[in-house]
Amino acid sequence: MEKDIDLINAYLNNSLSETERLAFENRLKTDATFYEFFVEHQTILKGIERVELLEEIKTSKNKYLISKWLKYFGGFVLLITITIIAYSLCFSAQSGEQQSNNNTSFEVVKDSVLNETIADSISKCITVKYHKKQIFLEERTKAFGGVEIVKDTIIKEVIGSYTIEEFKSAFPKNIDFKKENDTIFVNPNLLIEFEKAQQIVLKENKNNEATKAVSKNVESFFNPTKKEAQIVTFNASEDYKVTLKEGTEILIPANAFINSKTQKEVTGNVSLEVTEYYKLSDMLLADLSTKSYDQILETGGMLYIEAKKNNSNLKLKQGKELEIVFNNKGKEDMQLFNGDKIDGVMNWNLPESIDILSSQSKSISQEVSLSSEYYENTDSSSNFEFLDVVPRHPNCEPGDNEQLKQCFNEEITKFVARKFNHEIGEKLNLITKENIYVSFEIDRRGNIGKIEARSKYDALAAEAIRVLELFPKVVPGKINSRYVNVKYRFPIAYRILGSENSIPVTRTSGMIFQQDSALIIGNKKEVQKEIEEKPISEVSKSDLERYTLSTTQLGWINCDRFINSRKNKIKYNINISNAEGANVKLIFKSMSSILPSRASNGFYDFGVVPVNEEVILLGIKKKGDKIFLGLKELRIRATSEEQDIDFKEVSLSELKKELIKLNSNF
Amino acid sequence: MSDDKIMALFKNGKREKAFKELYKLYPRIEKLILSNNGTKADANDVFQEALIILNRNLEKSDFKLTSSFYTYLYSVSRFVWKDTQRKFTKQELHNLQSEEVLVFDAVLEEQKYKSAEKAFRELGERCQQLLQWFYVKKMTFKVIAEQMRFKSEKVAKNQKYKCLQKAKDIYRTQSKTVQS
Repeated sequence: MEKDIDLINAYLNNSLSETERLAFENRLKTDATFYEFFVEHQTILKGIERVELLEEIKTSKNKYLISKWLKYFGGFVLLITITIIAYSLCFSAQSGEQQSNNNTSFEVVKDSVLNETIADSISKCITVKYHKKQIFLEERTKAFGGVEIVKDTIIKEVIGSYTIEEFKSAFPKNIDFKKENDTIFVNPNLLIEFEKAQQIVLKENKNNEATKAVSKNVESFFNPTKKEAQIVTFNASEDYKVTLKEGTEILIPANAFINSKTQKEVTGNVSLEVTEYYKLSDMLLADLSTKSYDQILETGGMLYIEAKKNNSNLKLKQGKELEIVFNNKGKEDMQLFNGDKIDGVMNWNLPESIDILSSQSKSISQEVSLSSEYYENTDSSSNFEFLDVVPRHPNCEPGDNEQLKQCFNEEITKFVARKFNHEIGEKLNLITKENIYVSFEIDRRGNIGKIEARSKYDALAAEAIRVLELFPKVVPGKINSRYVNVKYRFPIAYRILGSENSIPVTRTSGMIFQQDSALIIGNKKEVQKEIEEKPISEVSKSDLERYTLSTTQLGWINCDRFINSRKNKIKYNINISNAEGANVKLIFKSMSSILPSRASNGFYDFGVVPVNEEVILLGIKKKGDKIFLGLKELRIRATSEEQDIDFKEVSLSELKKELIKLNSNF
Repeated sequence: MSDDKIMALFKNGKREKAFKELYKLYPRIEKLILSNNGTKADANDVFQEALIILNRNLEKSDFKLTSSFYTYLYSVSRFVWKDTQRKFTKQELHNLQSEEVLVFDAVLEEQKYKSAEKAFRELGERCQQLLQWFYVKKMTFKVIAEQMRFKSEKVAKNQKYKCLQKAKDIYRTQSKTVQS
């Protein structure tokens, strides 16, 4: 038997010789028992084989299942991604539709929608608001076909606050208003009646008793008088520019917002709520003042900006900034301040990193002269050659870079020659030629800043800085069509004409400026200009003079400058005997400044103020539900003064009128 | 993957990969079994059987796949399932077409192998391993003796003979009980 098995194995393994195989097959045909034995053996072997096969099939199956699930998982992930994309697409499309629906209903509401809001139930008052809806239609072609984008702006203005009884008596015909949440919608044509009913009644607070701290009363008074914000809705994924009612322009870059809680980038429609404060009356009504710690500021306009999406607050993403063009001009060195209330008094801070701009953009060194030794202090590896477009002086015709450079050099030479105070050179009794090494930066908005000058004589260096500070704005240089900061370095060779023969000459008109390269270590001074303006090519000339600032923060924003008057300053406080906790401010006539005060026992402390300034002392106090306004013009003379103010009772509308009268002082 | 590519995998000895590809047809076979009162476990067994039969036939030199893998596996599965259910009527068997007869033969033949497998599985672990190594992995007795710590090749060979004999015995008794 064992032999037969060996033989069968050999046969199955094909290891028999031809004759052996034939003999084997012959035996199968003739020997029935052997055949049966062979079949049985083969069956067992195939049974054994099955074990192996089944094992293989199982592993294949598992592999198949794994790959299937991987595919499902991948598909799932893909599906989710697609869903998200589709959702966001649909959503934006939907919101677009919604807005166009708005547009159709716009026919109904036409020019204005009037509604009243019950401000808060505790004080049971009705704030009457005037809603104006502006709808801008814009058609854009998108990849998915034309999409109609409707941008609408709702401008709200508070007309006044009323209790329900007062409201009913003031507007008797409107008693049957319909209430919806806290807002009551009234027929648009009722607007006329609101305008007729000039008398505006102050909100009555029954919880308030006259004995309570009056200053608190005053504070609460300011809340309803505050201006209503203008609400602008726009798509956060696109650059957006808006011009507000009082002329402020805000440029919002695409994708600039993140949710303050989740820190996630926000897409879709975002509403920006901005309140503009240009008028003195608006500022006073909002209890605003212009002070940065103990320094007085001069304001060029204040804004309060909030961004929201679905009632959640947004903030600016790091590296993103809003460009704000204030509707004001004429004052230099305006900077952007962010506001915080400290003990109820507005305090303005300079943002810590003013220089965010220049750290982001490449700073480029450029030599005006051909001298190569003057390369120290190069803070960037980039050089003039990397500029695609060199900065252009406004007097220069556009041309190629070489021409522009040439022209720029001529302009700056002419400018320095014209403005340089020659008396300085005379005073120094200069005989030989003196070199002044000057460097400055043209930032990406075309402003001249970071001016440095070195000379053997401090006076010459200081004068060079003074002159360059006067240098006008230029068109900034470009790399890849982006405006960049450009560094300029050049030496001024200064000598008084005719001095070569060692003869001092007092002629002042013969200044010669030439490029030279000798290095003399002198003083170093850094001056930084804070006016940041839009690239010239994009704005008109009148726009150019407006203050354009960039902010990386929302909230209270003020365009100010520090008051660096040479006048003497004193600590100033006023004793107002009949103040009774009034909110007292000083309004500076010569500059747009409002100074708050700290009150204690009738003494109002204003901190350090410039002397001999004409100011208006303004007091607002509240007794019960009555408002008193006191105004007094005076000149600051002594540290401590006693002043009485004539307070007279005013209604809210009278107060507004009085304050508006002061606007001419700003 | 096309049938040609799967066939190439079989020819190149990449059986596992081929099986993996063929498993893509499983859901459809599962439907067939489920719609014929079978469970998922039944479907799984049937499909395994179908794959084994397919592989068996592919190894035969005279076998030619005349249809797609799916058609073949489908008809095999159908026969396997009907066979286990013993639902063939005489009429049905009579009306079988020549190709179907081949499939049916293959199914019946595999039944025998399956019971041989069952017999084999009743052997001791050592016996199973020894037979597998020798018959499936084609290992020499020398290597087997070393691996399984037999004193010599001869002992290994002897042991194998005994194991095989035992499997045959079990198989025989099995078929007898089935027949009776």
